[in-house]
Order: sequence, then C-alpha cells, then structure tokens
Amino acid sequence: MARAVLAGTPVSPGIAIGTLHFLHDTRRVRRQRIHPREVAREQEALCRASVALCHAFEQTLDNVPQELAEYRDVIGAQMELARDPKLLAAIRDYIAERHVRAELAIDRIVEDRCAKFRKMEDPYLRDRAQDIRAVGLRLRECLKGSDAGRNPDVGSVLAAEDVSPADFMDRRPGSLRAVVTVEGGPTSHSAILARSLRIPTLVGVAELTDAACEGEPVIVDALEGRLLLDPDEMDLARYVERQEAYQQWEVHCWTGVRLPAETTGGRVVAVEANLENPRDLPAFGECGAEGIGLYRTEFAYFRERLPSEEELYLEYSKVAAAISPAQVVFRTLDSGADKLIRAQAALREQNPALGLRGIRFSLRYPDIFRGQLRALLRAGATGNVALLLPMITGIDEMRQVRALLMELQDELEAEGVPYAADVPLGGMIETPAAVLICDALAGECDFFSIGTNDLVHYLLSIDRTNRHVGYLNDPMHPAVVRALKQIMDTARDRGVRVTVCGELASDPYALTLLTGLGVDAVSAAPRFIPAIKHLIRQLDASSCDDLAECVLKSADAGASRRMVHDRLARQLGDELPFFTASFRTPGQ
Amino acid sequence: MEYDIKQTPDGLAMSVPLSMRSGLHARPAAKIAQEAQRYESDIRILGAEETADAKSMLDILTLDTTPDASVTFLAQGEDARQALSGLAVCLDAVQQSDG
Repeated sequence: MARAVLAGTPVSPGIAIGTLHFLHDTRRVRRQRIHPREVAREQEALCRASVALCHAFEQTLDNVPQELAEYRDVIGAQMELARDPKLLAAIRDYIAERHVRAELAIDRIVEDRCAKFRKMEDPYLRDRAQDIRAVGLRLRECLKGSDAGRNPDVGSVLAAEDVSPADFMDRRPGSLRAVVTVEGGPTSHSAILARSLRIPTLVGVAELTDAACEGEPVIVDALEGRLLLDPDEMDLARYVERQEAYQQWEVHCWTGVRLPAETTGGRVVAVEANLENPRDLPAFGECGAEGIGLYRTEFAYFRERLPSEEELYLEYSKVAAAISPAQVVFRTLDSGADKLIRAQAALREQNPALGLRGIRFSLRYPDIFRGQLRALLRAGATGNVALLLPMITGIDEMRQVRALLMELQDELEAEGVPYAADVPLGGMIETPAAVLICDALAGECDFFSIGTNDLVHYLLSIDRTNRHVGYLNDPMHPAVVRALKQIMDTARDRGVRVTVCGELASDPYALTLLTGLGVDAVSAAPRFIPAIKHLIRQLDASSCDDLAECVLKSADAGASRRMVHDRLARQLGDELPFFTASFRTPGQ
Repeated sequence: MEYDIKQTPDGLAMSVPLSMRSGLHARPAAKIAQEAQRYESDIRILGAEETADAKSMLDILTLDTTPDASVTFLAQGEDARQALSGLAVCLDAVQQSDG
C-alpha cells in the first residue's frame, strides 16, 4: 500500500513513475536579522538573482517550439517582471530598512504586490497576482543558486501550486516524466501544452502541498486521476503493468491507422485531420487521416502586413498537391474574437464574439476576401479542394459568396490563369441561427461542417475566455444534443454530408454519441486520429443508435454523461481511461 | 498615428487614447516598459487618479485603466523627446496587435 493516494483530474493521459520534486520551495521564509554591514551583500545577491533569472527566461524563449510561439509573450512578460526596476528597488529598500535577508525581502514585497492585484476589479488583472508570485518564487530559487530552470532533474515528477508554460519549456525534452498541480483545469494553457508535449498531468490535487514530500517516490496515474505517494512493491508492479498496457495500446492504435474506422454493423465514419500550416503535413501523413477536414487559414494573416494572393496560393497549392487525391477543406478567414487581426483590431468592438467575425468580416472587406478566394480557386487546379465558410447565419451569405466566386472565375478565365471551376462550397454550422435554418442552408451548401466549440458557446451563451462560466461548457447539454440531432437529420434527408470538426470529435464520449447520431465524418488534430479510429472500430452501430436515442430523451446533462460513460465503460473496460477526454466525465 | 507633444512645467507631455479592450494588459505593459527602459529620461504615465513609472511593468499594470481611457506620458530629461516618439510607435504597435 502506498503511504497515501491523492485524487486529481487528469488533463493529459499517461502513467509515470518517478521522484517528486517541488518546483518552488513554498515553505515560509525565516525571519533573521542581518548586520548593517551585510546589507550591501544581500542587495548585490538580489541583483545577481534578477540577472540570472532573466538569463534563464531568455534561454527558455529559445526553447519555445515554433508551434507554441503564442507562449513567448507569456514568458516575455514574466521576464519583464523579473527585472522590474520598481519591484527590485522596493526589495532593496526593504533589505536596507529592515536589515533582513534578500530572501525574506523578496517574499514580503512580492506578497504585498500580489495582495494589491488580488483586490483589483478586473479579473484578468487579479490573475496576474499568480505571475508575480511565480516570478518571486523563482527569484528566491536563483538566490540560492538552485533555480529549477537551470537544473532539470532527469526523470522527475514536477509538483507545484500551478505551472506556467515557461516551466514546461525550461526543461530538456524527455527530462520531465509528469506534472501534478494544486490549481488548474482541463482548458488552462498548461493543460493544453501538457497534452501536446504528451506529458502525463494531473491538476486539482488539493492536498498536494500538505501531503507530499520533496524527493519521495510517486506514481502518477493520469488515466484514472490518482497520485500514489511512496508506493510499495505491489503498487509498483501493478503500475508497471498498467504503463505497459497503455504503451501497447498506443502502439496498437498506431499500427491500425491505415484501416478504415468501421463499427461492427458496418457503419463507416470518415476520420480527417485539422491542419493550419503546411509544416503539419508530415504529421498528417503519419496519422492515418483520410483527408483534411478543416484547414484553418488564419495563420498567414497573423503578421505585420496582409499576405499577397501569390503567397496564399503557394501555401494552399502546396497542401492540396501534397495530399491529392484526398480532399482538403479550406475554411476561409475566421478571425475570431480571441484572435484579432490588424484590420479588425481597428474596429475595437465591445463584444467581438458577437461582432464582425468569420464570413461577416470577409464580406465587409472584399479586397482581403477576393485575394483569398482567388488563391483558393487557383489551388483547386492543383488538387482536390473544397471551401468552407465560417459563422454563417443566413442563406444570403452563401449566395453572396457563390456570386463572388462566379465573378472571380470569370476574371481568372480572362487572365488565362488555371483554376478549378467546380469547387464544393460548404457552410459551418456553429450559430443557433444556422441550426434552426439548416434545411434552407442545405439547399445552398454542398456540405456542412459543425464547429462544435463555437456552437456550444453560442447555444449556451458562454464566453470562452470567461473562466467563471467554464463549468457550463458541456456537450451533453440537451440543447447541444438536440441541435446536433436536428443538423444530422436534416442533412441526411437532403443528401448533404456532415463533418464535425471541434473538440467533440476527439472526445470518446461525444464521439460515441456522434456515431449514434449518424455523423459522416469527424476531423481532429493529427495526434488524436489513431485513437479515434481505434475507438470507432470497437463500437457497435446499433448500440450507438440506441444510446443516442436514450440521450436525446434525457433532459439532464449529468444523467446523459453517466449513460454514455457506463455504456463505454462496459464496452471498453480498462481501455476507457486511455482515451483523452476533453470534457468532464462522471467520477472526475 | 501622430500624437501631440507639448512642453509643460513638468516636462514633455504626450496624451494618448488607450483603446485596448480592457486597459493595459501584461503583454502591452511589458512592451511599454521595455521601450521606456531604453531612455535616460524619467518617464511617468498619468492615469485618471494614479501615476505610474513607465519603466516598471508592475507599475503600469497597477494603473487601473479602463477601455477607451486616455493617459498622458510625461518625460523629463535629455532624451525626453526621443523617448516620447519611441513610445508613440511602440503604443501603436501594441494596440494594433492587441489580442
């Protein structure tokens, strides 16, 4: 028996066995007076610690992989805090006035500043208290010359109140076995990062700092949500076996990637990949996806200047040619509330999620849109290309784009530039309006793609950046299930193909439900695809239909989740926790 | 965007409308502090009620600005004018990439 077993929420699956190391020494600092002669020495030590920490952050910045570039700013801001002249001056003064060690001065001044931030009205600024605290703790480590950032422990399990993206990227790849934290949730930056780096991670381990000891052996079960402290031989033997089973399962998923995703009872779901950059093409090639169900085109627009038609054509044709004859669905520019581009920033909308985004933005700025559509039509001549329009709320938007496409085709014809004349045009179903009129939209669209992330947010009226309402983000909410049912039924009647391309596509519970509702295709990030195909192959078509019917009758999201969970648990047994669930499930 | 720089008894002053969605956030505050640190001059930011040291990101963050508020940059020293022009360029860049 282990000394203790703590519960936590798994946010990145896997099992790890290692030695627990706390990221920061959070013990209270002892108050110890120093001689006035020592003041200058302590102040110099502080200065050196600040320089050392900034240097460590700079190295971290160099280690940030290209695909995680968005975290550079988070780390940059922490670096700025580490050398903030006012903060350092306040700590120096505290040392001189109170005759205390630098360590204590850092602790007191940082706590004081944190307290100020915690009292602020703006929730964003309140959260910055965590950044300041994290920097203060690392300054103290640097003071002792034991900054974790510079001394990564091989094979360690990292324990902390909370981790920031910098804490992950400080480490040499492979040196970190698992992460366990007191704070955090499944949608935090760190959870997303842990999943992409495939580091088993538990969050919400409430008793962590009280119960666990520095340097003790632990087992992290980030499949079932358990942290075993000081395990005995039997625990170790059991988990070594479980770890092997998980690794074998992963290998098994990967060896089957070329097989179709067909349920017993013969229902085939096409499994496609979400991409956003030609750099992802190798990952696409390996994962067994049957096409690109969603190619996000925003990447090229997140620059200082707008991309030219030629640059866009090069990008699109490269992707289309690489995967031909498989199809790539390009979604036109969907600059959203949380990813503003320059022209949109100029609008300064009060509520961008309900503002000029997606197709609305493109139709308002035809010069930007025409360039993109011309590039896409031209890329159509190099492969199998389809177009998808985001944020559709009415048939008029579809018609306007069709008219524009006709005009651009005439233009290209006159110029003698090769293009595709028969590019399928689809609509994203992600607004409540689109769900309610999907029968009318079926007459205008060659295919539907359900953007489940936005659909859930708009249906349940939740702002994705507001963590106070994150608990409402529930795909088993009856409103979501009924909307999905309505779209799929209408599409089937009208002969329109439906793809689901949000986070739901990779969630085992939602995937089972979608299969029962009769989805034609799902599209997810390449790393999820082997497991998605493996799961579908173990499902039974009529059992999924039956389950979907039960869930549709349920008005209680909790009961629906339990139903799906119980069914899957019976079907998959010990294998169920191996799948990455992106939503809360019973027992978590 | 061009901002007016005026001579005042307290130094050179430049008034800037802040149009970031929720005042000054960590990333723009860090950029402003970095820029301000490049100059010798003493640079302050006057908000509605408080004053912040433009070279301190922490100070800028505590300047509890509201969306569409206006703040004044006040610079005193040899390179005050260069500092204000530099900050004007920096502000334009961070406001445009705010997101």
